Amino acid sequence: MRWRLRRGALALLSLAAVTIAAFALTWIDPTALCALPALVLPMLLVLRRYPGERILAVLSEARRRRRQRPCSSVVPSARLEVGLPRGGLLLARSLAVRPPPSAWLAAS
Amino acid sequence: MNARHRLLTPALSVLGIAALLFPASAQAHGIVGRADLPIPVWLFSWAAAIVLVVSFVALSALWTRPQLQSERRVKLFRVPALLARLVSLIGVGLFALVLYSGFAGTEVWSANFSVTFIYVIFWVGMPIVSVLLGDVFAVLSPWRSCARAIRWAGRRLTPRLFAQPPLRYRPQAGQWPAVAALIGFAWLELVYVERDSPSKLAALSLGYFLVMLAGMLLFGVEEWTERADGFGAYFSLLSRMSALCADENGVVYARRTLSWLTKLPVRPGTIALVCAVIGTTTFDGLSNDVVWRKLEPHLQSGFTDLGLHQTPAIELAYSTGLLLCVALILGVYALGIRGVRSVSRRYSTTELSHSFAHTLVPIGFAYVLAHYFSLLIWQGQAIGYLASDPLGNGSNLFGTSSYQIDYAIISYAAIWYVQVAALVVGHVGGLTLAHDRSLSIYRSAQEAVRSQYWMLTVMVAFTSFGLWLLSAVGT
Repeated sequence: MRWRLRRGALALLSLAAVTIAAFALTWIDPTALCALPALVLPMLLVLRRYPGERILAVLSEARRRRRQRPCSSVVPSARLEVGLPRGGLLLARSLAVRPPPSAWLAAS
Repeated sequence: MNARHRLLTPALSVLGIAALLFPASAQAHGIVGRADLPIPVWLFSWAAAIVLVVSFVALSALWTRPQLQSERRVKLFRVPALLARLVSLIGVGLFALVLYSGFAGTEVWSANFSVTFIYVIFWVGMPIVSVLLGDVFAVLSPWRSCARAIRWAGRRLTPRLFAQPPLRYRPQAGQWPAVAALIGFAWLELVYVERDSPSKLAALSLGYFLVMLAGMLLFGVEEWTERADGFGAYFSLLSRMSALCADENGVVYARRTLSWLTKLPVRPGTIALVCAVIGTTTFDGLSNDVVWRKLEPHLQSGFTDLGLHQTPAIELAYSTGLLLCVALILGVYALGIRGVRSVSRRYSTTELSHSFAHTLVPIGFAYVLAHYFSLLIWQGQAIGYLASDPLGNGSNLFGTSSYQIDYAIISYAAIWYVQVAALVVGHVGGLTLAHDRSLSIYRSAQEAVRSQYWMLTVMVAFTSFGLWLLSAVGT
């Protein structure tokens, strides 16, 4: 039944499109071409054709995935360890005109 | 993706580009529409369809979450109560002036304040004001202001009598009275033979005022305004598109444009109300078209053969056309909704038609703006001299009675471009609302996108039809 309905709708739409195309091609009334987009689209849909659906699904999915990621895509680098001087070293550092060499420099 | 699908999109694109590159220039000059356009009207229609398709693709790819379903508003300022009362008084004063000029002024419509004020400033200007500034008519409405004043006075004099409205509005009636009022006004404007008679217009305005006043006092002011006042319901509907709104305390808020439309309560008759807005405007365009001029005499002679006189036969023929146009719009919407339902059986046709009803509102406004823009720009200027001489008896109250309409204020081509832009933007707005709603009601993205193919078809059909109507006027 549904298929019959669909076939009927398709036949009607096709007839309308052909009439309009005939009107337009014979230049009886080229303005009739205005209606063509409004007839072609439902023809495709009645046939259960959704042109470009897959591309749209891919684009939409890509967009959704991009949204789900954290706001910043830059991976935070390891924090630089800064050894703050404490106790005696702090006193020495504050009293020294020139601060003592860094630990790694001293080691080398 | 299979080869057929892969070929379809480029093929359609090539067709579209070819159509734009070779616009059959020889035929272009053959169309002597309102603007003597540089390209044929059908190319405008195709270009509008392409814009809608591109919008559809962009929405499907980039708009992946519902954005308009929740309301976010920012408080702006509070309108002083005194100013609101002053605006209400202005509304009542203007209505009194319409009545006075209608009854006491000249019967020449172009020289009487009432006709231009009702058909141009009120009927065309108020929808634009509503979309820009929100529901201003709720404050300006003379019947609402008078009903509120009577209720306020009544509560002080006889508190028991005015504590509650004596009757309860039946929910089943919904907005059908408003639909009847709106179609009635359209009938008056487009069908009634004596539509230009100022005294008749004034009498009908007074009648409407009294009916509204009685309804508001019997059923409650707000209840009646929302459901039964044709103008109140219509302007309130359009004001939902606005980025501004006010609460009952006079606080004005800013919100996302179109977002309030998603909260539209769909009552019995709401869909018919929106379709009546589009359908009556459609008939206004169609009644100036060659197709109608060929068809109308046949209809008229059919009614004359039934024994009617010429005037009622003309009015019946035009009434038939008016109602058919409203039915046509309802039919296109119903077909679109059936198409949406074919994608998924999750919702019934009624549920879907209610869910997507609000998407027609921007289309209704687009139709009104596109169709009446030239009327507002040209005939609207007449209010300049009519304000000085409202009765048409030669008075010059503000010194502007010698003012004349400047028809060169805007070119025909500019009007056409404004009309096309209004139609396209309105339909893109409708498409956006439909897409947003589909994302909120369908669980699967595929169902949401597929349902929108059908809404796209509805929008393309309305745009093509609207452009054809506009181009046909004056051909």
